[in-house]
Amino acid sequence: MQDLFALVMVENAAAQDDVIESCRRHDAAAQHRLFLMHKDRVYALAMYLSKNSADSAEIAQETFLKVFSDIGQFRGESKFETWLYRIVMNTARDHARRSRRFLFLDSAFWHDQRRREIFAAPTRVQSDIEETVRLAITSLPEKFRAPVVLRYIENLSYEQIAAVLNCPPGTIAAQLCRAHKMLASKLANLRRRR
Amino acid sequence: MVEIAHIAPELLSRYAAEGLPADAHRDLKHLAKCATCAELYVQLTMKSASLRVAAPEGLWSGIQTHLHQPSSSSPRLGFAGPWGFVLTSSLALILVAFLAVERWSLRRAVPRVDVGQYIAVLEKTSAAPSAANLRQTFSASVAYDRDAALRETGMRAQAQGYGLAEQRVLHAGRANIIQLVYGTPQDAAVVIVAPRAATLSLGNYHLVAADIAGLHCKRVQCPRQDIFWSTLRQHQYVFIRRRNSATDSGRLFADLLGARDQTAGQPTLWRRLIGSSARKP
Repeated sequence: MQDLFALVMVENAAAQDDVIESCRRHDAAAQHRLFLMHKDRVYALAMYLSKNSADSAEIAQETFLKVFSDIGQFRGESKFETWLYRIVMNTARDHARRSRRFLFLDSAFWHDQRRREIFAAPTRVQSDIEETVRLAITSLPEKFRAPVVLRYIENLSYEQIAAVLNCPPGTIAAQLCRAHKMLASKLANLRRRR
Repeated sequence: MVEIAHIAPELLSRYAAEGLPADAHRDLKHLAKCATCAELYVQLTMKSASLRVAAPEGLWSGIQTHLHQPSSSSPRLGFAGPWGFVLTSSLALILVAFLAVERWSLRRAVPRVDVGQYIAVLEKTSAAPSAANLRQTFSASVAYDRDAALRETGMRAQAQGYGLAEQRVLHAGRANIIQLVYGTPQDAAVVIVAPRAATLSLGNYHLVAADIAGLHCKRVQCPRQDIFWSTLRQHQYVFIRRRNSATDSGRLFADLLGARDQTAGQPTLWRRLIGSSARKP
């Protein structure tokens, strides 16, 4: 079973390499395929880093446009996902700087009317726990939120997070340690049974 | 050594699934301080929640619209890819070469007069400057209109008995280098007038600062000739006359430039020159 899983992973990686190679030649079909492969994770990351759904859609869109235009600069020295996440982070920062309202999601956001529109995908089941977790994550300060999102939404290792955020793994460990305490406290408070 | 009492993993698991009881104050406080329990509790809670977000449907159409738009909003310099680098480098090289050629041609356009060559001829032959040796030295020069020569150079036609005997011109691009030969029955003097931008070569002769009737100029240290070089407004003037005790060459040069008219109250070339930029040759 493990061998089969490893085989699928290798095949997926090879397929992605082919898609990236085609994207370098501005192949529209390959660009669409690459978009389909990564759209949800890019959008999720943008969602947790921006203020609202409109901003996250813009960030996701800008991210993919940058990916397609700069894919020639991706030399395969790191994983494609690492390169992609870095672009999302930089785009989100640029976007915030441009709009001069670099406010990360606040609790009010989740009670916004747009919440329905954002999470209205039929496959998703809204539950209290999910909403609580989102609330807790989005109320974290920016410097703790990015590592938490990459760690728990994207399942990246400390080294991968360090590569994306361009800082030493030790810094990420320290930031996550503090974030865990803050997050645990927030989650516990939000999820106390009355 | 204080032993930390962690929350049991089973209890943390239950907390993650069901939430903390309202009276679990101690555990709540512990979670805010203990990194180990906090991390485990966060991990367990995250596992029970699905945090993935689906991208909206219209995202790709927005990207497609931008992909097919001409990039007018943010034009990029240069070209992408390795061929782009080659193209950009080639264009840069062509530009540098063009600028170099342009500069070279500009340099060529600046007229150059070798007065030193004429002085050397005079010194070697011990001859006085004359129309004949001037024509011989500057063989490319041609006869020029008298009025035009005087108008362009601002020189006087006559001074101290020296009258304008011949005027010649050397065409150097768009610039004229005018040679004026003044003479009396016994003597002659030559004035070479070149544009200010022209390069005048006076050979290896030394130059010393001189002052003739208030006009600051340079004197070329030459054994047999009196040579003055002055730059006034748009022209450079080189006066050459064989040295003798009968006439003061400096004064003659000043007179030819119009110094005598100062007393007549007319705004002559001399007055205009003395009043403004006649300070530095």
